[in-house]
Formats: sequence, C-alpha cells, structure tokens
Amino acid sequence: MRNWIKRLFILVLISLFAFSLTACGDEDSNDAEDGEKTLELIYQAPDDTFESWMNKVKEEFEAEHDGVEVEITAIDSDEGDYPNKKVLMMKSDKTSPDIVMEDTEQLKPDAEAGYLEPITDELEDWSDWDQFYESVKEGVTGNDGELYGIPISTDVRGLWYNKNILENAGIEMPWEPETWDDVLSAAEAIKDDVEVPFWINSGKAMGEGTTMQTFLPLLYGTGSELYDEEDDKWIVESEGFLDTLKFIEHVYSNDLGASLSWATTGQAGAKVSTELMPEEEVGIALDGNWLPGNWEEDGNAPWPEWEDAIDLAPLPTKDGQEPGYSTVSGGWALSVPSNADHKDLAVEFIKLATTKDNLRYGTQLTPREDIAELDEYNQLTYQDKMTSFLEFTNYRPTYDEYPEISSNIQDAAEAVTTGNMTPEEAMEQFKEDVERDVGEENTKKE
Amino acid sequence: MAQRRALRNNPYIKTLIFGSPAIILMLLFILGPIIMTILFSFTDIALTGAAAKEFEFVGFENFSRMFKDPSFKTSVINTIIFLVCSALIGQQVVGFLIAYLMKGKARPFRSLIGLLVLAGWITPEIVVAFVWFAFLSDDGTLNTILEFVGMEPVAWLLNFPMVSVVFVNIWHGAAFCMLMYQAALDDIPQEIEEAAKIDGANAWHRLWRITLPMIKGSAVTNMVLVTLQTLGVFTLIFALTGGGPGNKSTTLPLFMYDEAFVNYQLGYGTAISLVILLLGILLSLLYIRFLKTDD
Repeated sequence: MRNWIKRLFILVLISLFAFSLTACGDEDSNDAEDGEKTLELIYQAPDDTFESWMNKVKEEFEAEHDGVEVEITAIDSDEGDYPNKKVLMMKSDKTSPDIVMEDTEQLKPDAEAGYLEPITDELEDWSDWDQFYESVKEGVTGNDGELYGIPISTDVRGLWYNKNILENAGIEMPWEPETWDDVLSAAEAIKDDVEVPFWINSGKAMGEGTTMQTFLPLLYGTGSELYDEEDDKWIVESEGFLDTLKFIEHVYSNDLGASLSWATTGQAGAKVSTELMPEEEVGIALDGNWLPGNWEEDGNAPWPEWEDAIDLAPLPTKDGQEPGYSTVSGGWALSVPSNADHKDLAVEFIKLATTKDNLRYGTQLTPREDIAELDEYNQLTYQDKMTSFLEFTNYRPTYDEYPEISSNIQDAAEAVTTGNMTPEEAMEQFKEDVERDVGEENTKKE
Repeated sequence: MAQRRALRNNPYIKTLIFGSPAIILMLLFILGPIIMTILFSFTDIALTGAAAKEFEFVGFENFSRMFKDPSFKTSVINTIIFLVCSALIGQQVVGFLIAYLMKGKARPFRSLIGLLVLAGWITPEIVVAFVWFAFLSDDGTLNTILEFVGMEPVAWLLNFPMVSVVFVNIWHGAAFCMLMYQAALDDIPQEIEEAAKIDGANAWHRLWRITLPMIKGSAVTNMVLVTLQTLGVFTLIFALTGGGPGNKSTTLPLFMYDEAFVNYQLGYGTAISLVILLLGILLSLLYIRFLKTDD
C-alpha cells in the first residue's frame, strides 16, 4: 500500500515537471483563438502623456479594424535600461512586440542589427510624410538610407535663464548672448547673488545628459565635429574639442558652476530643476526643452510663476560664427520590429497615431510642420522659440560605437569639472580611450 | 545472458543511467553557459548594431584592450580593496568575534544578539542598499545625528564611497561568518579547553593555541564561500553609489555591467566576466592550498 502511494507521488511529480516545461515553451502568438489579432506596443514608462495619447489612438484604431485589439505594455525602466529590455524582447519572434517606442539614439544601431523593419515604401506613399521636418527624418533613417520609423517628437537644448537675477545684475533684457564670452561674463556678473550661477551637466552620473546637453551643443558651436562623415572616422583631437573642455573647466574653476560636492552626482539634475530653479537660486541653465515640464501643474515641482521668472535664449556659437547659434536634437519614434507578427497593421497604427489630428505628445516638440503652425501648439510657453531652434540644430552621429564614445566624453567632462585633469590631459585621455575602444584606424585628428 | 546481467549489476552504469537526468541538466545549464562565456569573450558580439547581427572572432583583442584600459585597473584595485577589507578582514573578524564572545553565554542573550545580527543578513541586498542610502545620504540619519551633536555633516557616499560600501557589506555579511564560526566553535570538545585551563593556559593562549587551530578548516571553507560571494556583489554597490563618483567605487561586476549593458559591448563584457570567474577560481585554489600545506 505504502509503495503504491510512493509510486503515485513520483508519477504526479514527474508529470507536473513535464507539464511545467511545456508551459515554458511554445506560446507562439498571443492572438486569441477566435481569429482576433492582438497588436502589442511597448513604451518606456512612466510616461503618462504618451500613454493617454496611445489610448486615444487605440480606441480609434480598434473601431476602424474589426477583430484587432491593441495592447499597450508599459516597460518600467529608466533611460539606461529601456534599450536593453527592448532589444531583448525584439530579438525573439516569441516575445517581439509589433510596435516599439524607439529613441532615435538607438534607431540606427537597432536597424543595423536587423531588429527593425524598413518601412520606406509605406512612408513614401503616405501623403502626410511631406509634413515632417527634413532634419527630423534624418533621425529615423538607417545607415543604409532606409526609413525605420515615424518620428513622434524631437527636442532641443538652450539657455534657460532667470530674468530677475540677470536684470538685477544690470544685464539688459531680453538677454541675447552672442558669444561664449557673453555667457561667461553674465555668469560672472551674478556669481555672488545665487547658489548656482551657471548650471551645466558635466558628470558621468548624468550619462548621455552630459554629452548631449552640454558637450555636443558646445562642440558644434566651435565648428568642429565629432565624426567625419566623409572619411567615416571619429575625430579624437580638434581645437573645438579642446575649447569645449576649456569652457567647462572655466565654469567650474571660477566657481560659476554648481558646488562640486554634488555637481557630478546622479541627483544633481533633479536638484537643479526641482529645487534650486524654483527657489530662484540658479542664474542660467543649459538644458533641454523639457525643463519647464517640471514646473507645470502636473509636474514634479509645480511652480505656477515660472513664466514670469524664466526665459529662454539659444546657445551662441563660440565667437558668434555662422549660423550664430548651436543646439543638438534627439527625439523618439515609433518603429516596427522585424520579428513583429502583424507588420502591416503595425504600420497602419503608427501612421494613424502621427496624423495632424492625432499627434499630441504632451509638451514635446512636434516633428510635423503643420502642427507647429497651429495656434493650439504655439500657446505653450516658448514653444515657437524652441521650435525655431530646429533651424540650426545638429544630430548626434549615432553609429554603433556612439555609446562608447559618449561614455569617454563624459569621463573627459567630469575630469575637467573636478579639476582632476587639465583640458589638454583630458583630451589626450579621450584620444587614448577612443583609439583603444574603436581602433586607431577608425579615428583621426584635426 | 550472463553478460547482460553483468552489465545490469555494474554500479557505474546504474549510476550513470539514474543520474543522467541530473547530469544532462547540469551540463546544459551550468557547463553550457560557461563554455558560451569563454567563446563569446573572444568575439566582438554586441547588443545592438552591426556586431549584433554578425559577430566575428577577434582573438585576444578584448583582453589586450582590457589590460590597456585604465578603468579596468581601477576596477581590479577596487575589487581587491572591497574583497580584502569587507570580506576577508571585516566579515571574518566581526563574525568570529561575535561568535567567540557569545560562546557559553546565557541562551536568551545568545538568541537576541544572533537574531539582530541575522537581521542584516536576511535582508535582501537591494533593501540593505536603500536603508543605508537613507542613513548615509547628505541629509540622512547619520548627518542629522552629527549635526545634533554639533559636528559638520559629511557627504559619506561622495567623499568616502569605498569606505561606505565596505562598511555596509560588513554589516550585511557578518552574520554568515558568525553562523559558520558558531558551529565550528561548538564542535571543539569542552574537555580540551578544560584541560588547558587546568594546565594554566590563559584565555589568550587558549584562543591562539587551541581554538584557532581547531577551526582552521571551517575558516578556510568560510573564506572560499565569502570570497566568491563578495566577488559577485553588484546590487549593493550599484544602488548605493552606482560605482561613482567617477569610477571611485567601480568594482569588476559594475565595470562589466557598464561595458555590456551601457556601452552594449557584450563580447568585451563577457571577457571581463571571465576574468572575475578566473579570479574566483584562483583565490579558492590559493586558500585550499594554504590549508593543505599547513596540515
């Protein structure tokens, strides 16, 4: 009798084990049995404005397409983790979504890796496509010239300054700096009045923020480049690179920046935007167009009076050389993975999401010219000013090696910020790092 | 027929047959990944970009790049500091002291202290990190106390990142050593110590001549376990300092994560993980060797 129970027990155990193994396995498509199709979309969460926009489009799309259900999946992660999670999902046709929210920084490498589906033909036949800014289209173009997504937003960087603080120091309003020296002398003038005269991201902890908000806008303002498109080489030594590092070093060695006890920590950005700026303790901040989003009613640090205190000026080029100003743009797109189950439907969905009537992504800068002309759009404070920055904007050379190059830039920026290295030493270190990481044959000096 | 019976009675064949499910699973899920790691560490495989689609064997390029990389040197030094200070010295000494001092004390006292020390150990690493972040941060508990007694607050995680993570790891891991040493100390026969006492040996002599030599075996096992555990610590440092400021508290696991998942260089990251693996094996062999020659 006992033996019998034992045998039964083992049998149950084995069948349970076998069952659980099969359960782990094939789950080829998450479509329901009655012929319904499920279209899965993933995005980097939390992003309430994106979610509510997508829910609206989902409703319209489901009404138009019988038997199709759109599933919007939030991928809870920060900017650092989202690309990894997204890539791991796209790698397998078992887990791949049908639509991904894609940072244009990753779009080129992801397309090169074969994760994304080219949709050039679909877009060229689409009458709305002409309405997208040419410069923004560059962000969704792969190295092979094919289009890999539809842009949903773009962004710019500029100098956010406190009118009251600058005016009290005798600076004429509106402030219109024409050279780097103008910026530095304004910071010098308010040095004793505020805790942070001039905020720039310049630590490793801010990651890409340091490269994109600070280093590249400055570098492009010197006339130098980071990548030589003709020779296909990374520029590891140039006068502009050195000038940019010298600028950062000048800010911190003259006490024009934030206190070094927190300037290079991961919390610095939030401290500036949500604490010090509303307390009117920051004179000038070189930062992105999303900055005031923090101070809106539903932001992290509501500050209803911010429009009275804060204004925006474009970052001038080093000596005021053509085109006078400099900025860098990135942005997000919606793309279709090559492992998607329903590619045609996915393209239909992202087209519907980005029509003139539907493309409403919070206070993000629009990639569509016809939306930029709408009154409703221009009512947002400084939106027209920021959109005008797109005329002189630059895009990052987001080739496969870019994340490593960017990491090395952050090292160099932090080294001159903390005074661990002189600008010359930091550039030498950058050169060595890049030569080691991408191979000396892929680099050049200018 | 006889041959078949002989085969059936061969204990090795039997073991092999009945052990095969476990052996196959082990080969598949333990040896397989290790071999893959070794293979991938010689490639330029990446998470995205052209090298994600078609990777190439690049020989020893990842390793030569690693040894030229100043960040690698910093991480190795940090790993060794972290290992020696927090695991080999900190956890061992604190764990042993607690176990030794508690020996023969009243039961309620032992249970209470044991429970308190264990609380640090059973707390998940990520929770430990957040608790200590709250304690050590700029306006955290420690600085509030310092200010209360009239001292200047200190930015602990910023100015003393290595000291902070070492200290927190000692706090977190000492309980494991305590448990190991408690068991070892309990195994020492009472009679030996009593005999030594009668012979006139003082407490110091008893510790040095009797207790320590008798628990040497457990100590080495403990060292091996703690070393391997500490080499892999990631969560604690990642959540406390993120390896920063700069790379002042970047250990090898954090460096590997940076290269593999921030810079997307899976091949290079895998090569770094191989170095961690080799370091672990090397240290373990060293301890075991040390135990053998002394016997």
